[in-house]
Amino acid sequence: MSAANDLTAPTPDTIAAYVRRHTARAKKILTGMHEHGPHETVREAYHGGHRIVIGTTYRIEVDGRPIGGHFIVTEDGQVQCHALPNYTFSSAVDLVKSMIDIFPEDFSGAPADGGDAHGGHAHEGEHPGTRGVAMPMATRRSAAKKPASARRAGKRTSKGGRHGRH
Amino acid sequence: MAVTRRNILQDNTVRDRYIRGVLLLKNEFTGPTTTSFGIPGPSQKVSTWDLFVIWHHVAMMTMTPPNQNSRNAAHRGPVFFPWHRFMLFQLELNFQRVLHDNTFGLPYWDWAQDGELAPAQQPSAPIWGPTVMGGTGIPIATGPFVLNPADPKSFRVRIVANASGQLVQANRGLRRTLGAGVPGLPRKAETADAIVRTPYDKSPWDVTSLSFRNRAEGWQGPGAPVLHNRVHVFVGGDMSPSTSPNDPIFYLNHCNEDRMWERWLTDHSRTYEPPASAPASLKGHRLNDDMASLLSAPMKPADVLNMSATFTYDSLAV
Repeated sequence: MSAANDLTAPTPDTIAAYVRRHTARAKKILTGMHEHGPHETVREAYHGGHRIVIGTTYRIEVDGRPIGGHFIVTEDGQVQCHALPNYTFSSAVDLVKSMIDIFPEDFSGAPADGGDAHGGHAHEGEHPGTRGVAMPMATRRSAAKKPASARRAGKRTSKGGRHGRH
Repeated sequence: MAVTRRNILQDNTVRDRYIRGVLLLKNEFTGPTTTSFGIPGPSQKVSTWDLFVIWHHVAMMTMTPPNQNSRNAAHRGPVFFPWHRFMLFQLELNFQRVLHDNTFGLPYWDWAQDGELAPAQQPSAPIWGPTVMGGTGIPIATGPFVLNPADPKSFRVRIVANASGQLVQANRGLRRTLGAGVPGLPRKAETADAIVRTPYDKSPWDVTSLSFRNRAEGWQGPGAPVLHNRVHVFVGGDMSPSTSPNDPIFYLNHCNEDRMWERWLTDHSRTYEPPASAPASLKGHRLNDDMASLLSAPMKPADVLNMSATFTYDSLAV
């Protein structure tokens, strides 16, 4: 064990010393994660001699406020994010619904679907239940050709819920 | 001499010492502050318990390699089991220190046993009793970790990740939403199925790998999330974000996961992938790479494949 001697007997002093040693790196990671804007997930596949490239970024707003953080599309089309590291969703909408439930302080304004947040009237063009919530999803796809498999890959993200209660 | 890690529901002495250790570490301050980590707000001392919370979060936000957005320094890749074993070992050493008991071994929660109960009964299983981990609620209202606003030494959640994945300060009670995220815990058939899977891990070394690691971490399998991930989702509340070590149940979950890995290692000649010679794109996950550390010197996956001289489990029947 390469570091066994250092690891066998922590004391308050050794903890403080090691934390000081690691703090600059930790701080850089903590502050650097959110300085680069939306992250693009790029998926690649090959089908029938064609190279498929699918780039996906999400621009998510709740009650008009943008939601930061990194959102990921896995190779099999599941949507995941760093804020909920043990969750996986078939739908970005379901992901954001879970975020609202789990981080109530971050969405502390009046609920958008209750009718009171905007004077009790429905905004024109807004779907009941999502009023005040705009969640446009920008998906950029490029491919040497547009094979059916690429369209199928896109469809995978809109399958029914895999994570039943969300 | 090796310590023995025991089922928390079968040893009241270990149970009570675990609870006491949590509260001692929650109220120990060795010097680091929120300012040290760039956490916004007034500068507050960070307890030893909360340093583990920050360590987990930082590891999770450390992408390995940095040019991708999925595999990180503790999850979603091969290092998942070694890194959490490193974390458990560090916590165990600190429990031994504050309890003045170098025979103390972290307990585990055999959640698959509770998974055999009817889903409606699982949120009231003995683990959630008032003398064990306490129950559900926002915040929880029973058990040893209930916030008492008049008692500065009672359990408070101080550092949490927000919806954007950033650390922020808090001052509130512990939250759980038992059974709200998924209706039931993993079952014994699932753990039995996981431990016979091989290899340990394989390309593409991520959440789509067909491997023991990925199945046990919980990304692949019928009804995913399964196993480890499913336990997080079942408990909910503070077990949901990257600051999930806030909840003392976190370590009981991971100790059980580690027990599952120990069973797999015992049955599979203590093998590990990827090897030290794997490409740099797997840096942080290879056999001889340093694992992300905060409170100590780093360890390598190779260091933790056989720790039977340090700890054993009372049972490897998972």
